Parts: sequence; C-alpha cells; structure tokens
Amino acid sequence: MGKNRKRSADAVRLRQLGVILLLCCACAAVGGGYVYQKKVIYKLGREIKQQEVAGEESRRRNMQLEAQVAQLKSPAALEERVRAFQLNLVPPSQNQIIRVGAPASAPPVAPQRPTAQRNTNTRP
Amino acid sequence: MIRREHIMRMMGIACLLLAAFTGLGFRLFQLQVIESSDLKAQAERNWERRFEIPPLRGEIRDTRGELLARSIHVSAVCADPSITSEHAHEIAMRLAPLLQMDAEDLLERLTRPGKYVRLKLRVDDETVKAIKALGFRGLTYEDAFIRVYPNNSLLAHVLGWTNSEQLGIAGIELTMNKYLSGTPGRRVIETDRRGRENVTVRREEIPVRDGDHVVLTIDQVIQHIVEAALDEAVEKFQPKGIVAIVMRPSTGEILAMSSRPTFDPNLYNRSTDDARRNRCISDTAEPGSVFKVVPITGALSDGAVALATRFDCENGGFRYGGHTLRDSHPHGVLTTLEIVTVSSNIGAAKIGIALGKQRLFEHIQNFGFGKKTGLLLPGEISGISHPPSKWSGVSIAQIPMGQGISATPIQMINAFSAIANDGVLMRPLIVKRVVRRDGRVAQEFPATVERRVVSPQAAAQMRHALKTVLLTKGQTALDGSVFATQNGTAAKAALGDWVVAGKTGTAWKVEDGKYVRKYYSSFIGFLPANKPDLCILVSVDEPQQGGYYGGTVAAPVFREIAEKSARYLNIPAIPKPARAPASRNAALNQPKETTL
Repeated sequence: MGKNRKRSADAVRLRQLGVILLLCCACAAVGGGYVYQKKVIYKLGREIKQQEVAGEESRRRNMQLEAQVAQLKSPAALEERVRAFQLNLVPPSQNQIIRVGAPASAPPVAPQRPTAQRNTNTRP
Repeated sequence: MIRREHIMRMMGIACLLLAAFTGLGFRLFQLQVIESSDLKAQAERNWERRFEIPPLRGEIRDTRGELLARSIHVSAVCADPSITSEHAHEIAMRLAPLLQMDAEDLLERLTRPGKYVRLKLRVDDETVKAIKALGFRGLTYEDAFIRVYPNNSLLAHVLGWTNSEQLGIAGIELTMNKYLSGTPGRRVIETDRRGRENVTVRREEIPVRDGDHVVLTIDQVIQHIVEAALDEAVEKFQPKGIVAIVMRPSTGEILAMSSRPTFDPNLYNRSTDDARRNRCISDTAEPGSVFKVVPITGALSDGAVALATRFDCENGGFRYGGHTLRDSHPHGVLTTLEIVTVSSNIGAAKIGIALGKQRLFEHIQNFGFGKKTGLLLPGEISGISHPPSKWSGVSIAQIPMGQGISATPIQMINAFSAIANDGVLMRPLIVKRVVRRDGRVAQEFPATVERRVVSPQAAAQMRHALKTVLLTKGQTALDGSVFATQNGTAAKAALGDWVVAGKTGTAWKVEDGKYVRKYYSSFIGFLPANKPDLCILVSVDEPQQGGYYGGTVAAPVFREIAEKSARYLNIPAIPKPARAPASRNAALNQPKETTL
C-alpha cells in the first residue's frame, strides 16, 4: 500500500520550511533594501558635498572676478587704457551740448459736445 | 530519576551563569550608566566635528553702485617643517616660482624648528591646485578672507581698513562695522573613518548671515577727479598736506573727500600714521579769510550791515585793542560787498565790531564751529571756538578775520554749504544706506536739516558778493548779475561756462603760540552761484613753491575739480546769449549807505 505523501508528516514539514524560507527571504530583502538605501543615501551625501564644494569654489571665483572687474572699471584704469589706445578723447565743450527742455504742458481742453450748427453743416 | 549529583551539577552551572551574567550586567551598568557621559563624549570626539562658519564681510559701494571694498576668499599655504625639512631644498625650488617668493626665504621657512609655518597668505586657487599637483608631503592649505580695495589708494581715508580678523579698524570700515561684519554660522557634522563628512546626518546647522552692504554718498568719478587734481597740486606746490572735499549743499551729501599724503588700504601696514590720517576731519587750522563769510553773513542776516554799507578801511592799518590790524593791500572806504571782494581784514574786523561780541559768537556757534559735525567717520575733532568770556580785547576784531579760532575743513565746507543752501545748515552725510544681501534696504540715512543759520535773503546777498571774488575790476559775471568794482582775490578759480562764487583764505600758521611765516591757503566755492549744486573746498597746508596765497595755490585746484565735476554731473552751463553785461548799480544794494 502506497503512502499518502500529501497527508504525511513530512509534507507538513515541507510547508513549514517554505514559510520559513519565505520569511527568511523577506527578511533578507528588507535587510538588502535597507543596505541599498543606506548606500544610495551615502552616495547622495557624497554628491551633495561635491556640489557644495564646487558651489563654494564658483562663489570664490566669482568674488575674485568681481573684484577684478571693479579694478578694471576704476576711473584710473580706464584713463590708463584711453591713454594707451591714444584715442585722444576730449569732453564736449558746453556750446556743443544742446539741452532739450520738456515741452510745456498745454492746458487741458474740455471735451466739446457736437452742436446743432455743426450738424447742419454736414452734407447729406 | 534525577539524582542529587545532577542537581548539584545544574546548581553549579546555574551559579556560574548567574555570576557571569551578574558580572556582565555590572559591566553593562558601568558602561551605560556610570561611565556613560565620558564614553559618549569620547565617541563623539571620534566622529563629530563642530566648526564655525565665518561670515563674508559686506561690500562698500559708491552712490552709483561701483565697488569700493569687498572681501574675497584666499588660501594660505602652510608647512610642517618636521616633515618638509627632509626635502626642503627641492620643495623650495619648486614652490618659489609658483608663490613668487625668494627660494632662500622659502628654504629658511621650510627648515624652521616647530610643526607649523605659514609660507604665503594670499594665494589664488589656481596656484593652490598647481602646488597640490606636485604632491609634496607636509604642505597644508588654510582658508582665509582678505579685504580688497580695487581702486587702491582712491578714497583710502574714508574707507579705512580692516585687520586680519576682518574687523574694521578705521574709516567707514570701523563706523559701519556692525553692519558690515555679519554673524558667524555654526555646523556640527559626523565624519567617517577617513574624516569625510557624512552630509546626511548634519547634527546642527546655524546658517551664516553675511554682512550687509554699505552704500556711500561718494561718487567714484568725482573722487578720482579730486584725487588727480590733488596729485597734480602736490607735484606743483610741494605742500606738507592738502585736502579737498566736494559736497552737495542741498542735502549735505559728500561726493568726494581726499587728503594728501595718502596710502593704499590694501597695504595699510606699509604706510605711516601721518599718511593714514584723514586731514579733512582730524586737522584743525586757523581758517583765515575764508572765515569772513561767517560774521559778514551773520551781520547781513541781523540787519547790522547791508551790502552797500561803507566802511573806512584805514588805508591798511587799524589800531584796535592794543594791536594794529593790517590788510595785505591798503584800502580806503569799501562797501561790505567790496570787503568780500578784496578780502579786507580791517573791513571784516569792523563788521565784527558792529555785530557785537555776543551775536558774533552766536553766529559762529550756529554755523557749527566748535562742535563735531556728526559725520559718520571716526576721528573727527571739534575745533576750537572760545566763548566771549575767554576773548581778549582784540578777539572781536581778529575772529572775523579768521584768527583766534580753529576749524576743520569739514566744518568750513559745511558752513559754506549753508550759505549755498539759502541759509539752512545740513548735517554732512557720507553713508547713504545699508542694503541687505537680498537687496532690501536695511537702513536709510536721509538728509538731515540741522538748523537755519541765516535768513535766505542774507545767504543770497552773500552768494551775490562771493561772485565778485572771482572777477577782476570792471569785469562782469557770466550771467550779468554782478559787476566788479575791485579786483577779486580768486580770478584763477573762475570757470568759462559756469558762474562760481567763492572765497580765498591765506592764514598764517601758529607754532608755539606765535604766528610764523608758514601758510594755510584755502579756497571754498560753489557753483552755479545762483542755485548751487556743488560746494568744493581746497586747502593747502604749507605750500613750498609756486606761491602761498589761496588765490594762487588753492584756486587753480578748485577750478580743475569744479570744471570736470560740473561736466561730469551735466550741470547746465550759462547759455551764451544770456551773457550780458550788468550795470554798475546792479552790484550794490541800494538802501542804507552808512560809513562806519
């Protein structure tokens, strides 16, 4: 007489083993996920730091360039360049300057009603 | 059946386990409770780093937004000689061209005893990268801020300077330090085994608040015009010192302020105290004839005299209070207007006497002498103006000539600006506003009226009289408003396109309580004379060559500054067709003709 494997005690143990294995896999997956997440966070942290350093470097460079621009724009530096280029620039004399005054504002004109006389002048 | 032997064995094992767990528990208690705080601190020391984030100092800009001072980040290259001394020669040879330093000097630093030496402070990022690429051990790099003044010596006395900790030491850097300095931030971080920051677990972060920006009333271009004129004057007259101030009379705004000798605030520690002193606010001198406008305008305002009132100027010698007062050139009878034109000492003395001690002193006080003006710059002094109770018998005649009183250049230009501003004295202004990093205005410094010092009519009369100072006898002002009956003292200050009003001053200097043959020459003027936009002071201390009269030394410098500034500011010139001659009577006030 053949043994009923489904109803045997071994079959029950196999199911339990499956459940345990599933639980173990779940635990491993959770653990793996946690580690992966931590790794990603760490990687992002490193990237943030790199970006911060790069940003700070750009800010520093910007500061230096602004100071350099200010130096190049200083009146003394500009005069030096004008002399170097020998442009012979001179300011205009006052009689070469024409000042245009703002037009005098005309008094406001009240809106007029069309009169009957005007209407009679209109041609049919 | 459990035998007694088994029970005994189990009891033994249980006792052992109990003892072990008790010991373990005790150790656990010791670690977690008794030594907890020490161990926690020790652990934190291993992975926790806390550091302060220094704030970036605010910028200083001129009225048009041009940069005058800012802080920049630099690196300092340092070394640990205990490591570098081994290859010091090679390191020195490789670093010398990069750091632009002498190799011998570097070698000496790299082999000094100790574990820390700074090789160079101001090193740019490219150089640091190049040095790092060389891969030498024992070299370290530190971050630092330095203050940079892109215009070098321009406006040095006003800007001042900061120390290595970025604290204001002088000038605007000092007075506005609380706005400029900002608030440091703080950060507590965790690091890994290699000391790298774990950004995701920043434990504490107080953000840094960078300093606010300060906007001045100074105009960089006018400042440059002034400084170029002063440099030329220094070369020409070789004076001990020279100052110039440009002010807007209607608001009290200072557009330029400079003195010579000067210095470069980028290298302030290489200059002398004398060069660093702002003579515009910290030097006093007897003003001389420029002071005459104060008692004369006061007398005009009180109605004690009119422009046409005549005074006998005693042909150059006037005995008063046991002293003889003298004019540089003898004059007979002069009107008040002519006294201003020729700058008669005797005439001014007689006007002072007509005004009376008390009123004279009140006018001097009203014009702001003997008190600080309240300018936002450190080191301002109040000058000397004694009360009438301390005056000698001749003081009432001497003070109107500008003797027996001392004033700073800023006090003098402020008094002249009051006359230009229809008799209203303004508080001198050098800071316009404080601006936050986001562009919002943190604080405005509006124009402030101090008080009315003379009537508008008296101020207008004085402006009228001061036009004649720049004319020669028989000449008419460009706008035809006044005709000169005497030679003015400052023809060299006159401009071709604008009517200028002003006054010269040539004062003897006092040394050890006695007048000596050393001169303090000044010219203060404003333009356009009828509605002034600019008031300019030039004072030359002890000119060594090329003359010593205010009209000879200071007036041409004034002219240079005034002409270029008026063009730059686009101040409308007198239209050519309007330049008509005036009748002789137009120059004089008609009523009240008395001879004193």
